[in-house]
Amino acid sequence: MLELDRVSTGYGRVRALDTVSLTLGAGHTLAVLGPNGAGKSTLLKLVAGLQAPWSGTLKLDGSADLSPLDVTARVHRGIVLCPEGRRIFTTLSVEENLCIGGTALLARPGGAQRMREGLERAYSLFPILAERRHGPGSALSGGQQQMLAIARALMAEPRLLLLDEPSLGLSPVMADEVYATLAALKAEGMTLIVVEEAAGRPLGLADTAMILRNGRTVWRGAAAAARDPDLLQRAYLGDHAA
Amino acid sequence: MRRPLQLRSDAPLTPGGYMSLVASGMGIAALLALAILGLNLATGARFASLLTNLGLWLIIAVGFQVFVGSTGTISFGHPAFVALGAYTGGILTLPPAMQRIALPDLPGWLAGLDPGLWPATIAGGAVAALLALLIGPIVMRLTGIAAGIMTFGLLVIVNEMIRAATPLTRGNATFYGVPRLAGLTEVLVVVVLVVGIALAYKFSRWGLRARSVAQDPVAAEMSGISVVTSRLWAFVLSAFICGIGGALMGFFLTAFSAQSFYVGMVLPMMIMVLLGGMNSVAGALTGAVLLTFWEYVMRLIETGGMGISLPPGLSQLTLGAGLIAILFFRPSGLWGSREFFIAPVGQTRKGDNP
Repeated sequence: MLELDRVSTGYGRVRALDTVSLTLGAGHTLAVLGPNGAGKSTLLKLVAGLQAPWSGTLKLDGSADLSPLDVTARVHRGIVLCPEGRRIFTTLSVEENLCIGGTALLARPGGAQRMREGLERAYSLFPILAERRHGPGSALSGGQQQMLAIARALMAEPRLLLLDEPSLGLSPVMADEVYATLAALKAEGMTLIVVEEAAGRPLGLADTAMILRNGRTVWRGAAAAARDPDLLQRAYLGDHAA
Repeated sequence: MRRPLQLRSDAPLTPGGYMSLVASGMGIAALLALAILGLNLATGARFASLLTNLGLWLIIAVGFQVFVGSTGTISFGHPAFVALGAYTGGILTLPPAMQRIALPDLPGWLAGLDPGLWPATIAGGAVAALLALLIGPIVMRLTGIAAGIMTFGLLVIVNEMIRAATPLTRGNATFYGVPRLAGLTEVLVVVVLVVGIALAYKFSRWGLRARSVAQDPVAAEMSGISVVTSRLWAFVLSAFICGIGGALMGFFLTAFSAQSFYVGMVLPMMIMVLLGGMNSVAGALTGAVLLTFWEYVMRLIETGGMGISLPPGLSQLTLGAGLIAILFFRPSGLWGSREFFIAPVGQTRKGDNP
C-alpha cells in the first residue's frame, strides 16, 4: 500500500530522516519506535504531507507518487494523521470536532449520509463522546481527548491511519483502552502506522516494527522479534550500551 | 433545568435543528429591532437619528464579526468595504439632475440607472464582496500581526483610490445629494436579515471550517480543510455585509466623504466586537448597543446637557478605560463565543454546555 524508498528530509539544514525505506502492505500495522529526536514524527509528517522530502520517493498503492499531493489531497486519498498532542479543537463541541474530521467525506457521493454514519460509528466506538457530544472539547479529559482525536481521524474514512504517540500522557488504563480500539481497527482491515517511544503496547499490536535513531533505520523486522530487551536497549541507546 | 433562553456555542447537525437555530437567532434580533422601534415611538422620534445610527452600527459590527469571529484575525481594513458600499449605493441612486451637478464626469453607463433602494444596497454589498474576493486569496494567507498590517494597507489604498477617482466620487470633496432612501425601519429590517446570515454562516459547515482553522490551522488542514479557502469565504461574506451597511449609511446620511470611512471607523468597530465577544454575533450586537449609547451619554455630559459640565474628550477616555477593563477581566468579551437561542422549555440535551 505504502512504499518509501530512501527518503531523506529535515528542518532547515538539520537532517531529521536519512535514507529511510519502508514497505507496508494493506491491512498491516507498522510500529515505528525509537528514542526522542529519532525522526519518528517526521516520518509520519512526511507520509501525511506536512513535510516535503529532500530526496527519495513516496508511493501509494504501488504506482501513485505522493510527493505532489498536499495534506488535504492526501486526506482525500485516505491517508489521515492523528497528530501528536491530540490537537483537538477545544473551542468547538465534540460533535463539531467530528464533523470537521469528516470534511473530506462531503466531497464524495452520499457525503452527508456517510457523515451521519461516521458519527454513529464514532459514538458506538467511544460511548463517552456520545455523552459529551454537545459539550466543548476543552471539557474532556486527556484520555477522552485522545479518543476524540482518533474518532476525528476516523471520520475521514482513512485507509492508512497514522498515529503519533497515541498513548502519550495517558494513564496505563487509558492507554490500554486506546490500544484496544486500535486493535479493533486493525481487525477490521485498516492499515496503521503507530509511532511510540515506549515499545510495549505498539509491539503487541503491530505486525512489523522499525526502530529509528538519529534519523536512520537501526533495526527492521517482525514485531514479535523486536520484543527482545537486549535488542531494544542496543537500538535505543547505541551499540556501546550493550 | 428549564430555561427558555439558552446560551450555547454548539450546533445540532440535523437540518431542522440548524434552521430553527438560525430562525430563533433572528427572532431575538427581531425583538431587539422591535425594542428599538418601540423606543423610537415612545420618545416621539426625538432620537430617530441616534437609533438609526445604532442600527447601521449593528449591521457593520455583525459584518465585522463574521470575519473576526470566524478567522480569529483582526482586520483594520473593513471601513474600506463600508466605503465601497456607500459610494456604490450613492452613485447608483443619485437623481439625474443631481448627477449632472455633483458628478459631471460620471461615465455614461453608470448615469441614470436609479435601481431603487434594495438593488442599490445589494450592489453596494456586491462591490465590497468582489474586492474581498479579488484580494482575499493573498491576504488570507496571513494571520496575526501580518494580516492586520496588510488589511490596514488595504484601508489606505482604497481610501486613496476613492480620493483619486474624482469622476466617480468627487475625490476629496463631500459626496452629496444621495436621496434619503433608508430610515430606521429599513435599517432594522436589514439588521434582522444580517443576523440571520451571520448565524447561518457561523453554524454552517463553511463557518465551522473557518472556526476550526482559526483555532489550529495545521489540525484543520490534516482533516482535509483548505486553510485559505475557508478564511476567504468568511472575508467575502463579511465584506458583503459591511458593504450593505455602508450603502444604507449613505442613504441615511445623504452626504459623506472618504474621510467618513477611514481610520476613525476602525476603533468603534474593534471595540464593539471585542466588548461583546469577538466569537459571537450576539456579542457584536451587544457591543454596538453599548458603545452607541455610551458615546451618546458621554457626549451629552461633555456638552453640559445633563446639568454637569465635564471636559471634552471624556467619551474617548472612558471608552479606552472601559475596553482595558473588559479585556482584563473578560478577555473573550461579554459573551465569549456564545449565542442566544430560544429553545423550547424543558428541552435541554444531554451534554449541553452549562
